Amino acid sequence: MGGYGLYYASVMQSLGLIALADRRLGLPVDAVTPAGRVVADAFRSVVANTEYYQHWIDRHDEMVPRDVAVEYGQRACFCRLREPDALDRPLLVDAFLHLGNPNEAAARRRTLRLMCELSAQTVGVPVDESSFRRLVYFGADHGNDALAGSTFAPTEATLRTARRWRLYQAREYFNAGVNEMWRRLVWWGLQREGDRFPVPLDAVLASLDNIDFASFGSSIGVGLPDSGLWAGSSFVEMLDWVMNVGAVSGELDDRWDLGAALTEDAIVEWLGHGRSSKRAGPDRLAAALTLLTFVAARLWRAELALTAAADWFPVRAGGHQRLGMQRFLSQLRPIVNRGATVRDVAEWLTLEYVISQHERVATAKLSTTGDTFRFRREAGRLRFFSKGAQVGMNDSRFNALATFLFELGWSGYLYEKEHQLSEEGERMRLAGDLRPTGAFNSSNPEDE
Amino acid sequence: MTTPRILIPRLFDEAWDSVIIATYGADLEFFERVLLRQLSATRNRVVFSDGRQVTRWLVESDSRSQLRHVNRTYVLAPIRASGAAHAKMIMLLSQDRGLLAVGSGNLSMSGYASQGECFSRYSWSEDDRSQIGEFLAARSFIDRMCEQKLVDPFVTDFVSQVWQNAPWLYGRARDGDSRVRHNLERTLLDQFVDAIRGRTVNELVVHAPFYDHRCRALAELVRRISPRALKLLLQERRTSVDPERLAVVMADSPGRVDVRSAEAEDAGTFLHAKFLIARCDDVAICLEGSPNISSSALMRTQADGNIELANLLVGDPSDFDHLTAGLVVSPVPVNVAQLGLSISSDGDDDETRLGLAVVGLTWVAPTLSGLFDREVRVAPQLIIAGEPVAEVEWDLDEPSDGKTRFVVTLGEQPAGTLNRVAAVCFTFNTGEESTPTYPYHRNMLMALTSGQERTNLLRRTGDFDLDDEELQELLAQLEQALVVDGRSIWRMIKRKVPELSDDEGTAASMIYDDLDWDAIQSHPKLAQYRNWDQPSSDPTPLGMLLTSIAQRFEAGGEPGRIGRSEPDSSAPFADTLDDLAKMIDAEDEEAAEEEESERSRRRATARSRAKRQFHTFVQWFVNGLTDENFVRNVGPSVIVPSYVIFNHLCWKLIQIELADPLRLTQAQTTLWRFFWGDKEQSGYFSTLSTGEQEAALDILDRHHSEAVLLSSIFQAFKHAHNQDDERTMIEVRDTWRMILLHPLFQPSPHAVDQAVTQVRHECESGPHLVTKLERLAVLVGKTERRSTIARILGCRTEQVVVRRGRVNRGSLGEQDVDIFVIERLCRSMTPASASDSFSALTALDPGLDYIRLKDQSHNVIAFADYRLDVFLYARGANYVRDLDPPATMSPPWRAPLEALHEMARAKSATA
Repeated sequence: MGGYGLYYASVMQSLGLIALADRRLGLPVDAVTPAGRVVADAFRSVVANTEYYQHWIDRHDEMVPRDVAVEYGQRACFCRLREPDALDRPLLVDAFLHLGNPNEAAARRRTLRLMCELSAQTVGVPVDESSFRRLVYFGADHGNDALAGSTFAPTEATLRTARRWRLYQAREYFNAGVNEMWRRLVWWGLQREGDRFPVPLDAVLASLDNIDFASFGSSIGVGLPDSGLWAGSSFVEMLDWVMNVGAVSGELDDRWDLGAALTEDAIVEWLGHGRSSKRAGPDRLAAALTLLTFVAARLWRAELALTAAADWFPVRAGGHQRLGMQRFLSQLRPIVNRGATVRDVAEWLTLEYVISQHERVATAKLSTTGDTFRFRREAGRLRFFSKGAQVGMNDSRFNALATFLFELGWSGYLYEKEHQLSEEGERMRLAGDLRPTGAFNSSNPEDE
Repeated sequence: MTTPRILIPRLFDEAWDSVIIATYGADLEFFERVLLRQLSATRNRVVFSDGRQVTRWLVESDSRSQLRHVNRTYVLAPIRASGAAHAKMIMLLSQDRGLLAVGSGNLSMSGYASQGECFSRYSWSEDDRSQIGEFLAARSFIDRMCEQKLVDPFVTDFVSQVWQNAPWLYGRARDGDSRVRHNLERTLLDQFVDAIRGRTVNELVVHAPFYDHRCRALAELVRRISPRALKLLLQERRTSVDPERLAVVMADSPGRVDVRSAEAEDAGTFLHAKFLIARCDDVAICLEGSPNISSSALMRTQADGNIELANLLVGDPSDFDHLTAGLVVSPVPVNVAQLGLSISSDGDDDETRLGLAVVGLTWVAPTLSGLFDREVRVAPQLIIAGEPVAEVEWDLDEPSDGKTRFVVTLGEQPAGTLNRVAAVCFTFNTGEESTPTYPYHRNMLMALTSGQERTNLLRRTGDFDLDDEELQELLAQLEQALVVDGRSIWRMIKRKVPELSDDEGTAASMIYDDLDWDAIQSHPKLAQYRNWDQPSSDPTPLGMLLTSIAQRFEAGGEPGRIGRSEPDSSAPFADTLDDLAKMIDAEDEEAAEEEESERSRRRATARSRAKRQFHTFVQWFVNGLTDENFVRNVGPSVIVPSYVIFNHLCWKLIQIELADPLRLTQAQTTLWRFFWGDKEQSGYFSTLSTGEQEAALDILDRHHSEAVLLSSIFQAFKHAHNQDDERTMIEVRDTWRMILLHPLFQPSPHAVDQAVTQVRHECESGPHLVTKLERLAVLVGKTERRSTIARILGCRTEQVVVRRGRVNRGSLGEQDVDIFVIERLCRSMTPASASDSFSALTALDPGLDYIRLKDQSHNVIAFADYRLDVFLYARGANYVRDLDPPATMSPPWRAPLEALHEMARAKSATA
């Protein structure tokens, strides 16, 4: 039941199905709201006839017979929700589409419509987390010997939602780049016995001189600029190179070319994200910096923040005080304009986005989580701690969305080839909403 | 992945009034994020730090952006000295105790939680005053820096406030009386050599992480002490020393030289501790603290060297073995050349220019004032939080002595930014920029130090609108502000609380009699009880508390609206982290759940601790009210407000589930019985003179005590009922009946309405509430009827049992009824005793319409059918007689209850 507090409670609260405990309001425990009671009643009607509900639900100290548990599991399982006669499904759909903060409900409807659209456009080809990322970011996925790569072109109605999801994925690539720098630094330090003999900070920064684009380029199969690319290169050269090999247009809604010589997707694959690695070579640093440069190149034009202001929030997330992309871009532009070298940018990122930020976060976590320091500055040196460091791409929310579509019976399971939309899913795709049940007295979509 | 928590020094765990930290470098982010949590109850917090280090730290914009409290809830005092201000000290002070740590660790994670540091601790309390010398030396050290104007004048004022809060810390500091030594007048090397007193030093052990470039300090040390053996402890690749110069000094040493490598058990730990141990035949002398083995630390005074602070300790030859015993020392001598040593800097020789400084930058909205340390004739550009500010009005004085005083008046927006803590700098027409500085929020800091910020929690007592962490702080404040029992009196007059052992009553009485009550009554803490309602811009803690209670109701009883200060965007630890580590640790489900459960556990722990403490506090109240001597001596001016506060406190504690409801209900009934009386004695209220009663009624009325009383009784009944605790229910009922009967219990319709507001989730109207309270008044316990019968018939309650039986009630037909069967009764039930039983049972439960008694041993039956008006007594089959209708009387509390009902109904109808 640990998942309730961690995962479900806040969602249920945001939908107005429960009120969270607040002693000052006279609520010592979480309380079900009238809307929540409607949903709960519907669920109860599903399980009301089970042996467990009728005879066992209050017998906490006794072992429940297996067949009783099985019967209850079969009735109560989420997997039954998609069946046409599931009594609680229409209410849950209604709750998700219409309850809670109206702006958030509208955003949920838009995303679910986008997912229905994506599901419809990819029938015949399975979609998983990384292909979802590619479809949203590049509008295309890789094919293989058996299947051509699927594509996704947002409709006019879903264009802005698709843009937001693209920016969200850009933030994931940005995070992946910073995380990789952090991971690499940890292993780099440990491989130098930095846990026993802390490494002078000067030596840490000096190591950035060895950033190795040549090895990285050769390994991933992409050519470098004629003049080469190294620590002393101007960062503008690096930016130009990335725009060139990545065919970066600088526009927000263009199809971003998955087939370009180098892409964020290729770099992440090369880094082996999602898999544990202790590699800490200078080629990894080059890859991480290239990944960050890619994100910067895509969003380099400052006016994008104005022309797409309403969709820019994934970039702004974190504000100026934290590690948001907006802060990264805002700081990087003047640094580059001052003629910074690749090394300058690498040092800036290492000091501010990797070392300081890790110290800050680990310090803040001391009182709750405990000691999570992987390194710490001590008397002009960086002292490393042997606790390992593993990074991966952050959750793209694909799994949650795909499961949602499936369990509500709007489409087949996206992970499988055949995931056609149901009649209701098709209605959602076309209209972007479904008629409320009336059980919650929510507004009719036509009224909006 | 995490490892067990790093233990931040337990030193900070206790509650202190003041903390003074001296440090070379200051990791203010660590201070704000970690230590401030532990120092939340501390009013005065000052961090003295080397001015260059502060500057260096603050010029990193990234460091600045994270600070939320600097010079707003604590004072950062950069020491502007010619050399490095290198002293490291933690001084914790309260009115009656102190704790001092002098050592090697700077204000940082590694400085305070690393194995590589070393501190010597001293403490002072009224029981053990022997270490006052060390405290005086530390105070003198701070005062000297202030006197020499190495810090801003504001800091000097603030520090003097700190000393006032530790009145025991006064006197003249003398070197001979103290182990804490500084180098403001004499070099530490001189003091160390003096302590050796010309003895032959068999072994000199030296450890420090930094040596001066030419090893002059070591050479001088060896020259003046001439040890027979010199033992150098060096940390591989870490000790900052020129190995070639070291080799020269070693070669010149007159005695044997033994070089060992040393490291901490936790490999990688930087051994930052610094110590010298001179071992003689019968004594060992140790110098341990901030000084490295450098000429500026050991051989110079502050005039041309660093500012250092150390412990000069003298003991048995083995007394300081622990300094090396905790290290992993190489078993055999090592070759210095193979240790990978070189000179590095710890900043002692930091040549960073202090930069263009602004001295005494002070913020009192909307003006920012200070002193430029140069002549300024053209108003510079003001920059706040990195942004140029245009909305300003400058007032520059004519430069004097090469300095320029200024006042800037800010517009609303920049003032708002500054209110939330932001770094300020100035760009001059020469293009130069001052170093970033955080202005002192003078009013905020002074409010803190005078205790006004703390008493703000008292302002929130009405609602108890507090976070878990604040609850314990509130408790401390309540304890501080109130006189609740005899202990409070002893504490108030700074006497040791007497231990009452054998005959507590007598002992207490004797002790109370010993006190000079005239003098005690004039103590501000007691005086506030007599003048809490006098209008004042500086209300007493009691005044704040009572006002808060009164206001609780005046805003319609809405929780969370009263007494709360304005939202503060820089509230401590309000920001959540959307950060790298969140990404890094990826928070897989298991880890995230672990974290969540850890957080919950900590919240639960804090809450249960607060719960225990509140229980204890309530018990003190109970002790006070049941202590006749205390009650008599403090008089109604204390007792009546205490009743108001205690009544309110118990009610809120139950309401917010910060106490066990049954335990609290018992405390409440004790309070109510004390005040309103019980079957045995009239209550305190009745003992007051008419004038005192009128004054008391006024206080009760002003603080809505009747509403609290009604809702508390309702609440107590509910909890006792829910837990099926009959004994408590009966106690509450009896108390309620007594209160109803009290002539001074005069609830107004408004009071009933207010009570309904408090329990509105369970009572929809006044009549509804009174109906529920009536249920309490008429409540009959399961055993009460049996015990009533047993009392009249002269048997034990167990002999009376209730059985269901079918009886014929004439025109009402056959009915199942309760039959009271009396077993093994010695003397037969008589018509008179049966009749008395009927009377007593109907008095107990006026709703009874049929009572049947059966004396099993003597085959006697008696019943009273009130609906048919039939009353019969029968012994065997032959003796049957009608009884006179038993006397029935309405219970005395019925009339006032009816009146209450009537009033509630009338009010409701009007509404």
